[in-house]
Amino acid sequence: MAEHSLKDPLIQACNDLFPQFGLTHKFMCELKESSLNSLEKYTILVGLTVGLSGNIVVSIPEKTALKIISAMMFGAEVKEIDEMGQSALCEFTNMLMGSTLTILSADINVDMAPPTLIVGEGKIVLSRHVESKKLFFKLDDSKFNIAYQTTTA
Amino acid sequence: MPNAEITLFKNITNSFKTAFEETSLELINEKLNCIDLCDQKNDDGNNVSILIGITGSLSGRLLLSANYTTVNNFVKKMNSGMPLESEDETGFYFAEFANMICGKALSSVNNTTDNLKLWLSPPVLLTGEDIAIVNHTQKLHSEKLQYSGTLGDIILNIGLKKGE
Repeated sequence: MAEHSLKDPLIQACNDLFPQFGLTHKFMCELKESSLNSLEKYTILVGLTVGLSGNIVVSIPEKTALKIISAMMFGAEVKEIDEMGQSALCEFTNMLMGSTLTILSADINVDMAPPTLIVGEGKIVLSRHVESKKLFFKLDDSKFNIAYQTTTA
Repeated sequence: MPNAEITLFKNITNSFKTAFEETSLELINEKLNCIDLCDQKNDDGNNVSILIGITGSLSGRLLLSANYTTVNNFVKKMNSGMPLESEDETGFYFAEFANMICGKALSSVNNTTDNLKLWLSPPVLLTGEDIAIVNHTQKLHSEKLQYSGTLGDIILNIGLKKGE
């Protein structure tokens, strides 16, 4: 059975979504990792089911999160991330993932669980011994990454 | 939220409660009884959490959380009273416990509730110092169950909303 990579749908979804909010991003590279993990303060986890079984992890440092939240609030200055900011971040990820799955639906139908936001400094290990792939992006002078690990269901 | 939905969510929570008790009996030969909790604050203070996504007619997630000591106590019992050879594996044993609970609960729900089909994503083990799993962003109807006993405290947080 053909393996379905999330790389191209994720990149395409970013290319579609970020400019809508006036954000300038750039895909840098994809790397393999031996585990699903996050090193950033804001981690958003999305579970996948039906056509593909797995997880997507969006890791966002605070600087990037502030930019995204500000863009979602029509450019309002955002100095710290409160509950509303956290909701905005989750909603942005929800849009990104929804768009990814729409692009993917040309090949395979996949369902996704609501995104879960995890806040914390230091390394968060989500799944050891599970090979994953990580896409690295720049956002102006900051960065974020999207890791994924899937198997055909 | 309409009463019919609240009733449905309560029934699903009861399925998870039964699955938790049956799975604990299977794995450690001890039935761990849960009580309903009214406290819906963020799940802070527990170092180990297992998150399993739920999709289908309803969508949401199960969170199974405990501190390191409780997880170690539980996993040792799973391993017939012996500590694991590798500490790294402890979280994965606990993740398997969560996976079994979800599998049992959703099998029961799918088989006994008309027009309801639910699926699970693979479990994710969350470990890290000072991490907080934020609950308010998903707008889920949440039910919280707690086991408190000789092993420590284990919290099940089931959050669901109508599938999209």
